[in-house]
Amino acid sequence: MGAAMTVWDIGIVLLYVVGIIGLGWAVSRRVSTFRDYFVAGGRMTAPLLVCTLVSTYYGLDVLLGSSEVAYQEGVVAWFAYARPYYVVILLAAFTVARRLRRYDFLSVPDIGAHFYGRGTQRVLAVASFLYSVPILGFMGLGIVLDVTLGVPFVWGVCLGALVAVVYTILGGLLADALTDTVQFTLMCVALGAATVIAAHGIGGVDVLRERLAPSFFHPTGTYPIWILVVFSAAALSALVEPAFYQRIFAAVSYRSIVVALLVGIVLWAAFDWAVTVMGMVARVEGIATEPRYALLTVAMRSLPAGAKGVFVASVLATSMSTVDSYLLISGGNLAYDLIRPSLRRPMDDRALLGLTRWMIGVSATVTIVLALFFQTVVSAWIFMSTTLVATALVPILGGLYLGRLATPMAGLAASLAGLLTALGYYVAIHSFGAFDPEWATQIWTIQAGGVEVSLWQEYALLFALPASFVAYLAGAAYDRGRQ
Amino acid sequence: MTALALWTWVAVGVLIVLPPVVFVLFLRDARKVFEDLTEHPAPPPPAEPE
Repeated sequence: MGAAMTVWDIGIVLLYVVGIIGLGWAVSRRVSTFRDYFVAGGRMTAPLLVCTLVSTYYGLDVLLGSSEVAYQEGVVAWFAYARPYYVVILLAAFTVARRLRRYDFLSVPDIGAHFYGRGTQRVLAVASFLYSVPILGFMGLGIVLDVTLGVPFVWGVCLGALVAVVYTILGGLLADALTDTVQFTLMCVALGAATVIAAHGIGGVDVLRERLAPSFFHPTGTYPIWILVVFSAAALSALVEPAFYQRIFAAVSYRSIVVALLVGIVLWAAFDWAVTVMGMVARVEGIATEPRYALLTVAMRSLPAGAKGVFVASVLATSMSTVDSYLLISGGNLAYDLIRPSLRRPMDDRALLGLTRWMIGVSATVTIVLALFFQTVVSAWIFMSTTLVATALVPILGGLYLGRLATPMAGLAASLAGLLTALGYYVAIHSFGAFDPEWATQIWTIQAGGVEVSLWQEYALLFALPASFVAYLAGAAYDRGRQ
Repeated sequence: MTALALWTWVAVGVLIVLPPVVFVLFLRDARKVFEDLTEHPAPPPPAEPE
């Protein structure tokens, strides 16, 4: 069975694109205020939240990234990389989400403004913007359109971005949620069916056991222990994730958040496991491609005509549902969190709504430039998530749970210390370290007292987070001393 | 059936059955949200802290 798409397959993909733009247009006719646009007026019920949470949080980084790890290492992709997220999300559902519902926040920097003032608000807005510009999503769109339709990468990035920008600008979070729902159903059902067909193609799932090395079935694989610690620490990003927070603010009630997250964890776990199996199937099939393309290649080889179009639409959907959400947030960071507080005169609601739409266009332009500039996607993603966690985790949890210590200097010092330590660590590793082809990352090896220490770029959080915490305590002590 | 095959079938079952159920519930709620948007626009965000 060939990988080429038929007219039917291409027709299905076009139908999908026209459909999501139509949905955006339908919503835009009903949205007239910023709050309706940015958090759907706090009207999101559990089914709406399930769809938008699951599809937003799972983009091509999971689809291609997890299948890449499974292709190279096996089930560690599920046990060590994915599972810590479920634990942290569960924790967030029963602690942070409940506490956040007491306040009238619309964005992550709003939390900084409430507890610490404008300085911390600005630092959090910058970190949130850097994290939210969907570089990986845009690159993923370019890759998918290149592999499946033969569209040149640069045109694929611009074309995919244009579709996402149009319907996000039109309808905001509700258009995002509506399209996410279609995309969520499409991507789950298509992945489930593709897993069955691909596994059947190699003679059943149990063939994996016979054909792959025993290490493929070891929950920790062959990774060093510190990398597993970093994987677990990276899951902390769920506690400061702008898209996650935006949906908490958009929920109609606390109960709907808990129900949505519990259903979401079941779906995420199933999705991750199916992707892991697909990655291992690609390994057994001996697909000699770049590991991150393993899932796409195995699906395009094994699916029949018509089903290929549905699968490509579902892969586009996986990326679109992430891109649109983060474009909305990064546009909001610029308009609502950075520009609005800097103006001397208050901005009326209609002007704020218009500005946010313009800033989504600006964010998309910045993202296209970065997507065409960066070569190492995974490194860019680790850098962005490390920066956000290092900058925002301590001030946000401090504001929510350490009431007496939450002083203006504590928030500002913690956010700046986290941000600067993370940036400084990356500069040092890239200045003095070298690229390790075996682990495909930047490592700086130093000799300390006769002991050789390998500092991976992924360890940035292990230094930045304690620095942020110490700065928080020092800032609180400084403010109390002045009083 | 091995544990590997069992969990793969469980995952596939969840992916194929659960999303369409959520989708039906979603359609029910989406209509209410659409009507509410037109009839009761949300208030503006709070003023900036000094």
